[in-house]
Amino acid sequence: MLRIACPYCGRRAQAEFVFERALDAILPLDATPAAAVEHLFARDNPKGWSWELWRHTAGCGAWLRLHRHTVTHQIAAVETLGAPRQDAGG
Amino acid sequence: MTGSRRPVGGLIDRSKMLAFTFDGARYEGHPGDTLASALLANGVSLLGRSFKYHRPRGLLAAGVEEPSALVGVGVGGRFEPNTRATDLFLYDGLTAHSQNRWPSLALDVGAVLGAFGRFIPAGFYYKAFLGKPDLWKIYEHFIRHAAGLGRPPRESDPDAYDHRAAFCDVLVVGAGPAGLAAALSASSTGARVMLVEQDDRLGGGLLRETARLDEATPDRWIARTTRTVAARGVRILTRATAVGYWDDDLVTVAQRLTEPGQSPAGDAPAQRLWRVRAEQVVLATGAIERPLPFEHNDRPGVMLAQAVRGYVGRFGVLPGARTVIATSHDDAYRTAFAVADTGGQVAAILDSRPACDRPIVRDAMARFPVWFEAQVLRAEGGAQGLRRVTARAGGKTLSFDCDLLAVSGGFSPVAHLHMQAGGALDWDPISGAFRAGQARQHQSSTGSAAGLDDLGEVIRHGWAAGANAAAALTSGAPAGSPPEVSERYPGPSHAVAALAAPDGVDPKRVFVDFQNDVTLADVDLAWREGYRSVEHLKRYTTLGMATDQGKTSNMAGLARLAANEGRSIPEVGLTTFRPPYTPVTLGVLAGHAKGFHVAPLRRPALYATHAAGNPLWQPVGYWMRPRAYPRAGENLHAAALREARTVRTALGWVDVSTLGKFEVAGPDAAALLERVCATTVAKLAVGRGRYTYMLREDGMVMDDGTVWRVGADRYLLTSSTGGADRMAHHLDYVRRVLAPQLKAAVANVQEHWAGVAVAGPGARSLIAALAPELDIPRHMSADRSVIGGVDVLILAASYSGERAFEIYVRNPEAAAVWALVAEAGVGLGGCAYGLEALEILRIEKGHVVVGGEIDGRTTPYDLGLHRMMNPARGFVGAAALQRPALQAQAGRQQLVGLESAQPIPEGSMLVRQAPGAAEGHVTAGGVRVIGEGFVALGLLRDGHARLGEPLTAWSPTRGRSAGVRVVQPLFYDPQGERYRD
Amino acid sequence: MIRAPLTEHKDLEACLAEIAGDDGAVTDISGAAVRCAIRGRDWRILLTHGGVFDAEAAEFRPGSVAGTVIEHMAVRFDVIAKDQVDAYVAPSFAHDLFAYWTSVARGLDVRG
Repeated sequence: MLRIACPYCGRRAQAEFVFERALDAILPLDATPAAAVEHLFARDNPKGWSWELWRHTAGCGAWLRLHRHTVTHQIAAVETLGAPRQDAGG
Repeated sequence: MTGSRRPVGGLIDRSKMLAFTFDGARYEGHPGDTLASALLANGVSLLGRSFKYHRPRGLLAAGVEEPSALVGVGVGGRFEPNTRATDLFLYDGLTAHSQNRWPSLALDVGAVLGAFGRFIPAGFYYKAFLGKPDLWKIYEHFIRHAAGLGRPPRESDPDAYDHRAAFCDVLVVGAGPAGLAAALSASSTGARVMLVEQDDRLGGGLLRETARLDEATPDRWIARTTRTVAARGVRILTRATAVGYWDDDLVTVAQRLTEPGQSPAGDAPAQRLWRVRAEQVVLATGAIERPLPFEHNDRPGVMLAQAVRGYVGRFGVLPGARTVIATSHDDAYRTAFAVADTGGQVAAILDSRPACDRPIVRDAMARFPVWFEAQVLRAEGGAQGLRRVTARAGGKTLSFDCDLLAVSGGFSPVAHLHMQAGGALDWDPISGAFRAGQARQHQSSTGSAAGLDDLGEVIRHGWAAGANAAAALTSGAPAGSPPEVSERYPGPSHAVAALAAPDGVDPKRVFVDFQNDVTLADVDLAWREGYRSVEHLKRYTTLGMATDQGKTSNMAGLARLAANEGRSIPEVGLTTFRPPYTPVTLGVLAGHAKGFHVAPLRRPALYATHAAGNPLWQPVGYWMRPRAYPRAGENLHAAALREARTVRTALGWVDVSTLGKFEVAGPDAAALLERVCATTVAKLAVGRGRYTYMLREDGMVMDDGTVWRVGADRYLLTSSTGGADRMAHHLDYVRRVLAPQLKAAVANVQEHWAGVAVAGPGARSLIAALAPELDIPRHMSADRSVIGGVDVLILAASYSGERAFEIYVRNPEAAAVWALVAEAGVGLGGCAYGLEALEILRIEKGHVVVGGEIDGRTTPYDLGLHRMMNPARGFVGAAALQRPALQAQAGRQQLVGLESAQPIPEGSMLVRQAPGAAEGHVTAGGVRVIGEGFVALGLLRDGHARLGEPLTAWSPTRGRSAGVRVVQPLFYDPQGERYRD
Repeated sequence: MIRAPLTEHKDLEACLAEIAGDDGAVTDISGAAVRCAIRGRDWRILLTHGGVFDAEAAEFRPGSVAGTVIEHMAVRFDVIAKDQVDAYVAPSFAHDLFAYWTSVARGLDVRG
């Protein structure tokens, strides 16, 4: 069970959070049908650093951006959605 | 081997007696005894039969690494099989039985298998039983009986188990000398420290030593240290094993509040699982002694040397009258002294190393016969115990009569948790041992777990480890200093690797994994057959796969593989250590989540009201909802049909509190809803509502419900019970991630509003009676009112097909309003109805439902809902819905109605003729509420074009079928006349 | 967290709605939470059971509010005073959560 540092609540257990999707899997409402199919069914799934959308559902309810390594589960950054994006190392 | 209790000595409480039974015989022991030490003291040496060959087995060890002495302990639902007798502390009334033997331990029929040993080596089952497959029915019966060691209990576990979270700066695992020193230094800085120990008392190796720490005897120093750290607030747990090291320094600790088979006092839990999140973890987990390889090295009477010393020093038990010691290091010499000092005979010390000149060796040579470059070749004995040991020394073959052989091939540091935490291992070629290397998380190893074997060094290293761990966190420097150690024979143990069997021994008789009966010959066989990776060796021979996870066997197997391969042990590598470190009872993993509490129960506000009516219950997600309210003599179907008929002819009321409900407010409320819902919303006038449905991003229908404009900028959205949590998440996702620019807010009011739906020709009269001031809303209109002095929201919606009203009331007032509805309703000839009646009613109206027709594979076109779609297409799922595959109408499963004179089995396949290929299935089977005949809803390939076609609804697994005709999915009041007043 | 008696609920709602204007919405959800008052010296120990939250942390003190999960049920803690904490939970879970805490308290030993 990972420990995730919510910017509002501090370090909390993964059990309080829900993984939503990778950031690049967010499908905008005005996407074209072709883009929709690409996003939904033809996405890459690389090992390594990934920016992801999570929600602190059983905590403060905030939507968060996490920079997580999909193999080691290291979390390099946890940001609120509105914050300027930092790029952590790989 | 004939064990005996010594007249003095040991840390047991000799003033008290505890009675226990083993295989039906009654014995006595003392508080502080383990079952193993108590049995030894009573002269019992035969404790089990090995897994495959049913060889007689006694005790090898004194700790959790014991591979052979497995017993079943306790009675009824508390029975715990495969319990190590060495890891079971005596309590009054303990009842234990040996395993894997019939009819008795002494006279075991299975021992005959030993004679067939050469036919059943490792992996024999991959090559046997080829031939007639039918014979498997015979083989299987015997194999099942022979497989396994202990038998599981048949009754439910009556005990409670507890889960707890704990947080600390420094977690110290193990309270031996290194762990205690680490806890001392870490806690002196003011850090939050936790100390866990699997034994029932602190001290670890100190419990069998005679050294002095700060001038005090070990037990005095342990007691003093315990008081010191406890006063500093260190949380100390005993009988608590750290069983797993997980992500981000999470360590699970299984704590035994009772011993296996023991009844807890009162309401106390039997065991507790701690989830400990630490900043730093100090692993002072000790080291496990290694047996030696020789013929019949598994005989009762062969024990690990440090274990023998433990039985003498801690339990006051001498396991044998005449002892031979075989060792590859200095520490086992201490066992010789301990045995002799308590009155035992030491027949010989067989040291595998060349002659050496150190004080401990010199003193031993003055008292006992000592041979160097000596190796044990064979042990002779059986169920009665050990008789003789044959060894080679100085080129000669020697024999010794003895009843106890204390062996030691060195120590394997316990690096399991370190490896679970992703740590790497370092190899020490001289002692032939792996120990903790590079750490991956915030773990460090100390003491004998780090490969140290001099007590002074262990203490100093432990102190430093605790100080370093705390230094990373606090600004305080550690106060004090490590205790001064003075012992008779200080210094390292000069261990030399002793993993290779002596030349000339028969590998079929040299045991490597005692618990799974794996011999050196099996390791060789695996290698000859091409299983040369350590992973293959493990799985092919089952070496290391028993409940002891290879604690005393992994290294010997590796060494043999390496020798066969001509490579070094570190090159061959080790298989992965996985949690749990020692076996954990399933109950403590489940905790509270057993029986009814496997998942939390969600009770609607009216739960108690319903319960008073003795309904049949239906689980819906985590909720419990009434399925029907049967009267005397009614079964489910009869009750549901009566309730449905009452709704159609008079009126009925049903609890709809569990529906998803959301208030969406703000200038952009309608805009937000039109991005979530696939129908229009903005066109609704204030006080009006409509049916709506929502799509997933891939264009499939996800949920459905209703939406009402309850204010200028305020809407109420309802959706299914089962999908409510998903809808809450989805709404928040759309609102804050996809469309954050919208000025709209969503509040989850699912539990704020309870709801009672009143339906039937008499519903209007009921509402009029309860709310006389109200201008009764027409169908699909909403209004606020007061019923019994309570504010309510009334939505004129219908699921049943009759004129209906959903009365929403604040949760705490629900019971009062239900009571008023019921009172007035009974007077009008109505009754309460449940989910079963609701289902029958909705099938007649062709209303689709989540989980039935909305199954994640159907689009609005498939369900006939496409005409309501918002032409603006700005909603979730609109883009993917344009996919050619979803737009092409041909070949898709489409919603149809089915009618028949026979009952139509729900879930059955729709075929042209039985048997045949399925062209669809029945999603919901029902009955005509008024009149005769049966109806159903289904999904059928190209269903929209097949109206009138005869098919068969076929369920071969239930042996049922019915002839059906495809019709429109609407069997009652197609014009909606019932909704008009 | 703003705490107000139920009788002033509607006034509070109206006041907040005026402040929010077009930039926010106020919705009554008072029926959607049950408050469980926990009083006594060992409340921190109680709240560690079945949970993943550090209720024993010194930083979690009067004035602190935290949302977390206990035995799969979302709860919110409001530390009122040294020996007092209020817990809020959905009404549907209230019965089971209360029963769980009661059984934990009964089974707690001094060593816990």
